[in-house]
Amino acid sequence: MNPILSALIGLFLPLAVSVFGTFTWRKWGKALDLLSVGALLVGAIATCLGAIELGQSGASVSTSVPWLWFEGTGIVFSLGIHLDALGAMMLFVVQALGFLVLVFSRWYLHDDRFYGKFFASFSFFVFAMSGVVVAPGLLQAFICWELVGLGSYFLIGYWHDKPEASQDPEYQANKPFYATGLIESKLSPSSAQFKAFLVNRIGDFGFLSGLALCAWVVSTWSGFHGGDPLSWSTLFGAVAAGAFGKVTFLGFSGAALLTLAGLLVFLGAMGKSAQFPLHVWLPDAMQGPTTASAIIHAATMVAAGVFLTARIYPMLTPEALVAIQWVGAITAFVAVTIACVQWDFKAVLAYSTISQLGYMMLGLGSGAEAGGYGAGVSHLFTHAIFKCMLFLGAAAVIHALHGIQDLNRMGGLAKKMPLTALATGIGTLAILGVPGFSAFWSKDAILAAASAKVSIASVNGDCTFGALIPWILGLGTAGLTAFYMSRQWLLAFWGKGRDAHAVDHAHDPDKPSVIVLLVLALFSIQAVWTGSLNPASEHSWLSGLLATPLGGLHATAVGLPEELSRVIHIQTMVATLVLLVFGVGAAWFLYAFLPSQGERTAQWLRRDPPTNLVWQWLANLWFIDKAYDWLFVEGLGRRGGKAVAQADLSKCFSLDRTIDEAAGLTGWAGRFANFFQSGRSGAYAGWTLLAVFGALAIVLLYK
Amino acid sequence: MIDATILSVFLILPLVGAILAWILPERPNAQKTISVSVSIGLLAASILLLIQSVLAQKAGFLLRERIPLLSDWGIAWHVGVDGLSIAMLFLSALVQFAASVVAAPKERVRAYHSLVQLLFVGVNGTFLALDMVFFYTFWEIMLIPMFFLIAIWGGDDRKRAAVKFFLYTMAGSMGMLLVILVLHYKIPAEGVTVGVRTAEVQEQMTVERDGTAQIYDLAILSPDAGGKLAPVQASEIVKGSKSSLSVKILPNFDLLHWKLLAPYWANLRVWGFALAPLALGLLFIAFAVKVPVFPLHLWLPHAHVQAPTAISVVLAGILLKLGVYGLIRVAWPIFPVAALDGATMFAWIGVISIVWGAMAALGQSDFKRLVAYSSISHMGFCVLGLASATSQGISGAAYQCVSHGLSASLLFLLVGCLYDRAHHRRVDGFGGLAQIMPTFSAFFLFAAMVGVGLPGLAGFVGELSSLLGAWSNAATRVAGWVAASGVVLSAAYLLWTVKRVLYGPLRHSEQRAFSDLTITEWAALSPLAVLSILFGVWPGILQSALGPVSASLASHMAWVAGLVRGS
Repeated sequence: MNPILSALIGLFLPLAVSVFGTFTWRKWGKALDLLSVGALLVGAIATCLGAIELGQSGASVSTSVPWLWFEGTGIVFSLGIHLDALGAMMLFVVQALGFLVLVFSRWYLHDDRFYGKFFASFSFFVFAMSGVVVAPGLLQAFICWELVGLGSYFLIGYWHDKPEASQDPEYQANKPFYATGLIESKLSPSSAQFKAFLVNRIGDFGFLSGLALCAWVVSTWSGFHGGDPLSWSTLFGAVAAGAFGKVTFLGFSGAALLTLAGLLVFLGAMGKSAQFPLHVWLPDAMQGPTTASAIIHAATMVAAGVFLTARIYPMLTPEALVAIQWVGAITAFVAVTIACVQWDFKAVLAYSTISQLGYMMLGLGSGAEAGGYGAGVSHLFTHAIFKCMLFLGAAAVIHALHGIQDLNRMGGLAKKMPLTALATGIGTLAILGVPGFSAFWSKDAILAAASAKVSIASVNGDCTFGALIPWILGLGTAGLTAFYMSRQWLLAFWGKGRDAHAVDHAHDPDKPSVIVLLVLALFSIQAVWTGSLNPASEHSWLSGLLATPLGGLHATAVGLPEELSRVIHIQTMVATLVLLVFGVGAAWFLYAFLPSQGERTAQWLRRDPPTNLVWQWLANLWFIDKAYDWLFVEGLGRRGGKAVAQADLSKCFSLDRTIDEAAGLTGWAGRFANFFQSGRSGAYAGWTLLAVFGALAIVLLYK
Repeated sequence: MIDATILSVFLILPLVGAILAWILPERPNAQKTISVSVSIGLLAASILLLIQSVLAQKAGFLLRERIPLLSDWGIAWHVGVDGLSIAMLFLSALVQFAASVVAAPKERVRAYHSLVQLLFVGVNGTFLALDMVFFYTFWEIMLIPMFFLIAIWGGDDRKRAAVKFFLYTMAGSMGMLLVILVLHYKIPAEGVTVGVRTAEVQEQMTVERDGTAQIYDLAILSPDAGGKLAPVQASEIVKGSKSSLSVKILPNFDLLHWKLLAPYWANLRVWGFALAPLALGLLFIAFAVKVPVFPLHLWLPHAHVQAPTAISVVLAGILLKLGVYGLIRVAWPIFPVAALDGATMFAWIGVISIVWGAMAALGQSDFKRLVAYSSISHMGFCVLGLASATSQGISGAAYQCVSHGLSASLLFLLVGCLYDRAHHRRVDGFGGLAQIMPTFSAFFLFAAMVGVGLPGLAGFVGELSSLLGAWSNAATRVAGWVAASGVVLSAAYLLWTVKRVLYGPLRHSEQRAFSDLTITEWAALSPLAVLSILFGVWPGILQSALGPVSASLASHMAWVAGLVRGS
């Protein structure tokens, strides 16, 4: 199928369904689900065929229509479709995962009061994400980027009438002492959707500024002869031709200005991809339906940031890449530590997503010559599949337990829902990076790239200790990932049920949903991706495919001799395997072995001691959310707003007071004039005489 | 091609409406029917013009008419429309329609409807006038109905609000009057000969019977073989073969002549002072009061809170736009050099309005006041775009006028819907309305998203263009960067309001009895909503009307600046 046509189908079929659904979901919700599932099935097939045809020709295709133009400047911003291997692949993944998640949602939400609304919002979300993927330039990327934000706003606030936990007396009465670690203790869906949108907007401030900066530089560049200054080819052409070297902004020029532009756009990616310090919206976004989280955290929204960073790769300078690498490493580490102490089934997955996104940025930031580009993008795809599956598994568990998300009340679910346990287990092995599963290959590639970057630096003789830190943080994250993911799986599925009342009636989801889980599990196995079970296989068809768009970018470190590259890969593999064994072992010891040694130990273990300072620090999310609440919500927002409003209203401006007094002045002038118009003719005669004499006196004096 | 007489429709129709509404016996439905019919007539006429303008895509005047009245003083009935004024006339008709459809006050209906129609005579007249005497007259005509509309049908503190509105605007227009008089008397009786650009002549040229060319009813002159100025043949201008063109301008009040005189004004000194910066300052204040910008905005929240719903819609929907229109039509073309010199200052004034308005909106508990401050914030983008004096920036300012006209009208209408049901306007007096009034909530979220500047809706295009414009001018670039923070702030106050009012559990159980939108509310809201989508998804429509005008102004300013600074 013509790739352009396939992209059009993938874009507008979901859009049509969502527009139709927006007006009809209350009446025809039950029919809307089949319509949207069908639309995404068609979209998935079409985009698959399109990707195959594109893959065969190997070139990229694009088409666009003018959207907004400015007379006299030559600037014509266009919207359209640009598909290369990366875009076609991503588009297919978005559509296919969307389809699978919707099939699952039909079961998961079947008795929900807003049933049809989910399918309308979801279709819109898929449309918006597809728009980002096929964007022919920075402007459409931004437009659809915002629409993705709107889609997430709808999905997160799906149950918009739920109260805040703090205002829910029933919840307050029953909340466990470790509630700081539970998502449900925090925000209502309506607050969470607001928070997500707002935090993303902070990123968008950067994106928009970066976009305006690029538009200005490119449109004043001598090589620009009209057209869209933000289309990928024009933008990257200008970057390559050194357009940024000819202008100055706030003292930035040349490479520094390009770095600024890249990082401003990256700020947008930090918002959507939940990078530290803008990661705070993502855990709260768990307030949406779990199946919505499955798509938000897999192929859409959070993937958009990584995808954008990959797209703008040609304009990222080495300095910008260093910043991206650091952001990624810090994000990965901060999130992984928090994930270790979460007691909420979904919260663990939320912080896990943040941490994995940090990995992708760490990979991308390691640079193309270290193999980071291919590694980061590959992890985007492998992660999309297994994280989607893990969230759907979480949905199955939460549905089976009638809404219980507290790991403390689970346990022993493997017997009740074996297929879910199996699929989730495979997903857990995949995220752990166990050989034979998908992330082993992609995550190791990231760590190898981080390591290769250090090696390249030392070959060039400018290696510092600081350059090692992102790599070390990445390794630490690998170990802790092994710990918290196996902890989660063991707490939920292993051993005996701790809350018999809740666990006893649990069962696997219905057949289509189980098939969805198993299909996703299948794709979490490495062989599907690399075509081989050889754990050291680097030359996968995926990385080969992804390498084409930017030419010469590859999962292997091209900046190093092959020998050294191989050594780095083997070192990384050994290191991660050792960390993996330690992480899983610790989790097994604490959460499977010790609890089987008697009830008292089990009780003590389940209660992470609140007096423990480390626990406090982590369970309070490094106090980041609290600091933001205090600084921005309470401080800048509530108090700042009140202060400004007060200042404005209290007429502290003399101008307003003057105007008020001027109004009084006219009254006073009126009374003054009244004095001369008393109505007595004698007085009038007197005033007239006085005036005449006065005039005479003036004339005589000044003659 | 439509004749220029269609322009008088925009004045005569509301005037007839005003008279009819006054002389007919007082029956709310009769008066309302008149108002609605008048607005539909205006809407039809303006859509006709808009289609013409979109198809023509030209910078010059689509229709223009000039009838000399007092030739001795140079006063003429000079009206005309280009893409900008057509877009504004369209917005004006749309706002009038929305304001006429919604519930009007129950008492003194005749006077109310007459005054509303009269108000629109002033508004439309200002958009049409190309003679400064008439521009000023219409500008002032607008004030009087507005004063009474607030002072009679307003809330508890209506008198003070009306007086404040009146005094602020009056104080501003005093300066404008002074500038108008000074400029008129500074044209010597024997006239001034100024050079004009071939491009501008080509844009606006009309061909006389004898084959000579005219612009703005002035003969175009060029030095002949003997060095004397003589009329030029139209064909020579079209070919571009004449290197230097001039026109001779006699004392008058003609806006377009004054625009041609821009190089002359720029070099003029009065009592030892350069005239242009002072005059531009006065004009800027006159128009900035209307926009309004910080710190001249203090009348607006007060007036909005006191005004009845329909009047708030008119105020935010169209009256504020007159300020921006005045800057684009009068201040910037006449004093381009001074405007460019002050670009940084004007840009920062815009940015301060954006940030201050948004912060103040965050702290409001009164619903109408909140929307009023959001207007100040959004209109700041217009000033920012204008300050940049680029094609992007000016068209962004104009676009933002239209999109804000739509979003602010929507928001005030929706607040009015709530007020009609709850009889209060406290934001915290609502909560969880999405369960009771789903359609209302959908509209409210939609209006908020237009205000937030969500791409795909009209608000985005204006903000984007203004920002791109600000970034394209070195003098306004930093301000443009800071202004981008407006996207965060507007999301903060609008969506926070959405959250508090629409979502969560129902906070006040007596509100369970609230009905969803009525047919009339639907009728007022849906055209605005549909256009918000249309102008957001397909900005080319409006941009075809606004773009050429903006680009032509930007190039006029650059040309004059080059001329003046070069000499």
